[in-house]
Amino acid sequence: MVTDSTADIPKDVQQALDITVVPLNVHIGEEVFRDRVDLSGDEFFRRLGQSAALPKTSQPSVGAFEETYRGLLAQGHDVVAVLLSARVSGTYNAGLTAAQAVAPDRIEVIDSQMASMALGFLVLEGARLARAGKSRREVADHVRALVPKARVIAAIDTLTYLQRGGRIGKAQALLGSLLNVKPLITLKDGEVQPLGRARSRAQALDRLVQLLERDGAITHLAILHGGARADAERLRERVAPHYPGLDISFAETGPVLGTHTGPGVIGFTYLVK
Amino acid sequence: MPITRCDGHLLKEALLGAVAWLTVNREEVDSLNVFPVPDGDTGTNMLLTLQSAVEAIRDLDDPDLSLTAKRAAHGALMGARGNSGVILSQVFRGFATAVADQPAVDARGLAAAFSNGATVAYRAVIKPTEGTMLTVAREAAKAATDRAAQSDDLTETVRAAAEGASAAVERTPTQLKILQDAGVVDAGGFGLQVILEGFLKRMRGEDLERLEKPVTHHALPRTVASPEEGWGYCTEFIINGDDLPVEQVRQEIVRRGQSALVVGDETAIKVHVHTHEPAAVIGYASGVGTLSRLKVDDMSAQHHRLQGDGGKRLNDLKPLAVVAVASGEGIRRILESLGVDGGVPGGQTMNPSTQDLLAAVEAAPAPEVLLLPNNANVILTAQQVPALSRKRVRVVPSRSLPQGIAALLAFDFGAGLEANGAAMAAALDQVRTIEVTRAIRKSEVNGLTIAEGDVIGLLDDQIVAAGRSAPEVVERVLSTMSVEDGQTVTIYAGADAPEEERQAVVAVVERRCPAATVELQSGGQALYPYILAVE
Repeated sequence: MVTDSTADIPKDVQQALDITVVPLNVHIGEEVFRDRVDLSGDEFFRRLGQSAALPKTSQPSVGAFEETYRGLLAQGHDVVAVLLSARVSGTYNAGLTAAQAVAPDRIEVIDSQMASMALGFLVLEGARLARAGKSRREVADHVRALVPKARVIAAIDTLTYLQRGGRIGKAQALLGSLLNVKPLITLKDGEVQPLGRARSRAQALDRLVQLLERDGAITHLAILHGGARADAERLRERVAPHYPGLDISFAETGPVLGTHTGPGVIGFTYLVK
Repeated sequence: MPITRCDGHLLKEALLGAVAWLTVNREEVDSLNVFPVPDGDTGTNMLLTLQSAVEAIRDLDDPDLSLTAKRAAHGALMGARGNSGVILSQVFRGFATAVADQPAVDARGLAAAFSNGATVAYRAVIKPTEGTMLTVAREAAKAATDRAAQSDDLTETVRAAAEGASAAVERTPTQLKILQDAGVVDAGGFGLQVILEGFLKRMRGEDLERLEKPVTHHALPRTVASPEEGWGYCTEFIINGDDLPVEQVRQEIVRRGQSALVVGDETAIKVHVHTHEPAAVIGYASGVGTLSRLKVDDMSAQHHRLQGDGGKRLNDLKPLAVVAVASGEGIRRILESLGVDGGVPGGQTMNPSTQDLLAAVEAAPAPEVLLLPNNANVILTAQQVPALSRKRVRVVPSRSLPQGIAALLAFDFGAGLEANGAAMAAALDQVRTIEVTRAIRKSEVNGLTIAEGDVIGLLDDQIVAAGRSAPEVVERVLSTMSVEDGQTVTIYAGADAPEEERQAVVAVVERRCPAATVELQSGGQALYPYILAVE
């Protein structure tokens, strides 16, 4: 299983499940960092608060994917790559171009239409099947069937970052509020779309819980947050009683996603039943 | 003596020439972008890609052409940025494949390598478009092939390639309408031409340190939105989908309007067009794929507003609109900033008529409309509208501005008329409304003795306090209720509220509700110097 760094999969899980992560890049001034490799989310948000210059992001190169694929093929593996939504990033296209150049018959590349652990869960599900000895085709079919079940909903402090990064999509309908509101957004059809507005962070958290519960039964759930651990812990305590037996993890936003959400992003990533 | 063999050393030198020449020309290539998108710097992207190719062979001193080409191609691939960079890296890849296992090539071999570069680049683009860098690569290779059939002189081969590229670049506006509209040649194609010219300069032995920018510039993009005659709507959106028929969309959009710009590939097409019938254009486009970044500007809206006729309204642009009564210019702006499509003037003593509300509902840009009266005295009027309108209308009975805003904040972009109507109605009770005004006569209410001209405070329509000043009354009202942690108190100051008094009211609220967030807004409403929302 190959994915990219926006999947927000914790390092220990990556290692335990043999998932290869190709990093995107974040550019701060003249410096370039590999997402979640050279720079952690915490460190990124700390810098973001201190620096006036806005960071930029870039997709992994085709070559980076080719190297990754070649390495895995050389070890005798076939590859299923599940990547960040093609509507918001060229990562999927880079992964696909590389696959066509390397070994199109041994590599499946899937557009998750998602980000963060909503993407990560698809990868984990694929990895589970891969470790059970399923074929490339079976793993890919399973993951593709799960794509429509993946969800990410989040509250952000400001739309500024999404707007400046050019990723605001249909959520631009939320722009321009004269009242101080917290935008609620989602990824739908692979792009950023508006969910609503909340008057305060507390109200935003309430709305997120309502939206999650409205989606009914779920199979996977992680609390997404960018440097907002305390809020994330509280959200977990609030929703945990509704999902007995479900392991609710945290998805810490890395530098690349953080560049586009800004600090304080919080939300849910999950798969519906 | 003419150069007749291209080995690893020559390729390296040629690439150094290309980097030097592209560095000099980068800004001009950048300037040719049709759309000012933030990551669309073609020249910069190509230069970074090329630099990465050169970095990969900088320390290589090997006469073997295949090794040098392979390393450079790998470098280009690793450093490829932007679409133009990716295509360039594919040209390198094709070149390297063609010379694999060859320590050196002659003129024909070099032309064949150029040709394969173009071929591989075409393959990398899922739907190749003529009039782009791909065309230029192919034409350059063709010119090189023709010359190599006649002469063994490699300098001539490269010169032919550069000249072929240049001629192809000049033709790009005739092949791609967006370039013609913008009055520019293709940036990526020009970048490729510059790279080939850099090869040539180095082969002629020109000093890389002394390369200077030519005086001839390509025309800069002109403003594509030309001055408009008559009324019209500047309509912009992106069509997203799979396998989009770009050319068909282009023809259809061009047919339906002026100043049309249609660019993209089969997954995303950006459209900009001026048209009298945006709804028809949008209707067509939404049948092709999913629309995003939809923006329709009435280019003569201001004119219409001045004429007082409300302007030409767009019908059915979105599924669901919100119309709200706004008492005051500031309040209207706040409501519109929260997504209200039509603000109807009206307040306590200037209640809008059924006709006013109906007109606003009919003019709203959607077939379904949510109507917010925002005043207890307007609810009944509003409730007449659904039976009179051609549209599906649902009234959310907001009794005050704070209730209207609470309802708006409950708006769910993913839900329709009924679900939103219910959710918004349920949100009305989530906010408490404090209104401050002056008594118009003396009275006894709720155990309060009120003199004419006294400041009185209402909590959810009930008079609960009276006094001499607004801050004093606000404080008394707040003392009758509890404001909890994490709540927000918004103060909408009226047209007649003096600045110092506004600050005094803010101070009272902050003292009374230390755990709440306090926000002061200019509502501009008449008769009610202060309206407060506690949510």
